[in-house]
Amino acid sequence: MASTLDILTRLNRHKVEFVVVGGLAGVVHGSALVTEDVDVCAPLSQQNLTRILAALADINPRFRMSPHRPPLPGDAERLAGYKNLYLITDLGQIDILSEITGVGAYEEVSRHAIAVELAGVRVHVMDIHALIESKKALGRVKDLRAAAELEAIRDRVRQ
Amino acid sequence: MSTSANHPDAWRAAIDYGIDVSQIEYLLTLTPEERLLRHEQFLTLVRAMRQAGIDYYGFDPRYPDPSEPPQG
Repeated sequence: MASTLDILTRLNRHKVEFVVVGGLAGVVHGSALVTEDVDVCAPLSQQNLTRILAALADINPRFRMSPHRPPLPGDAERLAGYKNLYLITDLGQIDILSEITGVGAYEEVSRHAIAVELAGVRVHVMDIHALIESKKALGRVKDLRAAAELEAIRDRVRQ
Repeated sequence: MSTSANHPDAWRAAIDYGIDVSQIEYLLTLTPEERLLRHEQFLTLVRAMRQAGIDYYGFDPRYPDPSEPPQG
């Protein structure tokens, strides 16, 4: 298993509640765009944060947006209050988001998820409709382009 | 949620947007897992090419200004 996808299997192995969103979700639906980070939506509860820390513990997770990239604390309580975690690890970048623009918080996102098998692991991925809505809501040029591509895919799949 | 009824010809719109729909047609012949593995192969290539550029220039050409640290 190559590195980026290994992050997903680690989260799954540690029973982290999460839904794959963003560009990697687009790849599942047929997008040709290449993305360098793993974006997931996850509840940032103490229990889920504990599982996230365990899943990432041995791949050197650090805060990506801080200038000196400090390591992620080992104690979930010290992450209380965070809405998003923008991380870099030895296996690549992962953004853990508690809510998705245009869709909502984790509970709503999980209602718009499909399950796919990846190397024998069942992973939840945001469905194409919610993904389109999130891209449109973000509204940046690259997101609108991604939305146009996904709308074309959705129409083609429905035929 | 909007529906495709809002975009009666999204395929045409994607072409007009400059999107290579032949790539989409190919990718839709693959399973979701095959798409992710293919993406991973491309990502490995992108990273190798990026490292080649860094080795050539002696710095990351995405961030020629040393005061602007790379985010990745």
